[in-house]
Amino acid sequence: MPNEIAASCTGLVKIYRTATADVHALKGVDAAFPAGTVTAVVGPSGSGKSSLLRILAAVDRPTAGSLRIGEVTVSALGRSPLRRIRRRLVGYVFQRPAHNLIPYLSVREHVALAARLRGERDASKVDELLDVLAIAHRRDHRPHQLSGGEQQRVGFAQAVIGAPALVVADEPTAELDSKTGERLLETVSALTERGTSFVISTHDPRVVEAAGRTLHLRHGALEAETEERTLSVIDEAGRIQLPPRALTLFRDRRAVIEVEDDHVRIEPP
Amino acid sequence: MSDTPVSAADAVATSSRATRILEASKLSKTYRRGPENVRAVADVSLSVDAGEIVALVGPSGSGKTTLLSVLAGWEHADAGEISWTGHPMADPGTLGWADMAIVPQTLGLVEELSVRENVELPLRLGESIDGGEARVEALLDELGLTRLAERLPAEISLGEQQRTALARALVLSPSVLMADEPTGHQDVEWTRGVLRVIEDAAADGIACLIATHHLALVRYAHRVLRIEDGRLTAVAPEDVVAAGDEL
Repeated sequence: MPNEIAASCTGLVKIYRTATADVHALKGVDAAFPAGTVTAVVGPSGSGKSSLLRILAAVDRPTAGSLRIGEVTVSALGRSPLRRIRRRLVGYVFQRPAHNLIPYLSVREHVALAARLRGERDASKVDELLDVLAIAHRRDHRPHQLSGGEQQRVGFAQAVIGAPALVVADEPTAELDSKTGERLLETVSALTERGTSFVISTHDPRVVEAAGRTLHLRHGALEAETEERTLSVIDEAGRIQLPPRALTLFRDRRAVIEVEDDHVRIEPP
Repeated sequence: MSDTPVSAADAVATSSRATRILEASKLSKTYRRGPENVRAVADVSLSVDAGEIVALVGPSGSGKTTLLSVLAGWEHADAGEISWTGHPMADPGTLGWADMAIVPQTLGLVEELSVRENVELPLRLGESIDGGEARVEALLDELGLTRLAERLPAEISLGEQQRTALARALVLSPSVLMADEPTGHQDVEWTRGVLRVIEDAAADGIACLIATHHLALVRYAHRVLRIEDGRLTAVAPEDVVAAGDEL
């Protein structure tokens, strides 16, 4: 399992067309997400995090590029097969779980419904997962009777039941106090042992610390995972994004550019 | 049906009015917003009878949504009592879809389920009900959702999502329908369509409590309650209609 790739994307481009201009939310993102790992995706607002997560969760389609989840190239699928694959292979955790819980259903009914959608027929898995998430004592309670942290754990339970290949979570700790957030992260690490790959967008340093690795997004492109070499994308106008560490060299925001035979040198004046 | 003997006077009083389904007495709810306390619901008493359409009007932020949430049991009142068919109810949040069905502004559709599956959900989760499928198809048809039935919520407009939530709320023919601005995302044609469905629901005996900004809905209402700064007053529908844009 450790060497399996739960999901991968190559050359992901996402362009939103508005009345006045095209917004390039993603400018060619390549990444692979191994099974049983946690990947944090960080970057300022507008960096493309949400676009990347929505595409990884197969709720949105890329303008160009391809996405594989498990053995399936999902970017090539039509609507119905895509929906089947998404139900089976991808779990999604919303930022505000309360908006996606149904007031009429108990905790157990929520998770049982998600299990049925994922094709998980073994009912004992639902109770087992409620135990792992420490909400078994709440199984017959409805959302309004739960704390925010408990609601978030129900959201996680729905996302991870039936062992999907990939679970995508959009800032899952944003609305939680620090203790509840930490508890959730412990749960995530327990769940990776079952082989699920987590991709979590976050501003939360605790999530970054808990993740096996971190992808930095800026202006729709990934910065490389190492500090010395950075893979960057040049946009149509010829602009390129400098990594934050390089930026500190250019205090007055001006640069001298020298083109040599096979490389370009950018230096402070 | 009650074991308690009733006096002749009580019996007359009871028989002269329709079945009281939902009753609230002296409800209050205060929020803490930053440094100040906001009294969103202040000493509110109201009732809704079977077959009645009650419109709840008032400016934005007047407490309409909070009042519905408290009546639904989704939020706890600081004070007051809620009665269900004449009996005090500690937590109305434990009522089922067949008792009190609510269309909140957030709609609460299941993103992974198609329009039809969302509407069928209360049927599938409970015991199956004879004629359930026909009821689903009829509601889909009346609300213009038949051709969208296989789409996901994300693939249809907000107005269509709102009509899906309304269809789901009505599928078990609940005793009470509560809806928060059910025409809020509808065009003129579908505002009329939604009103028709609510009117039919009331004709079937469903007690309807509808928070709204829409004059058209007020015209359909049997009674109008106006909430302002959390306080409730009954007003005549004609007066609200005459006041026009003060909704």
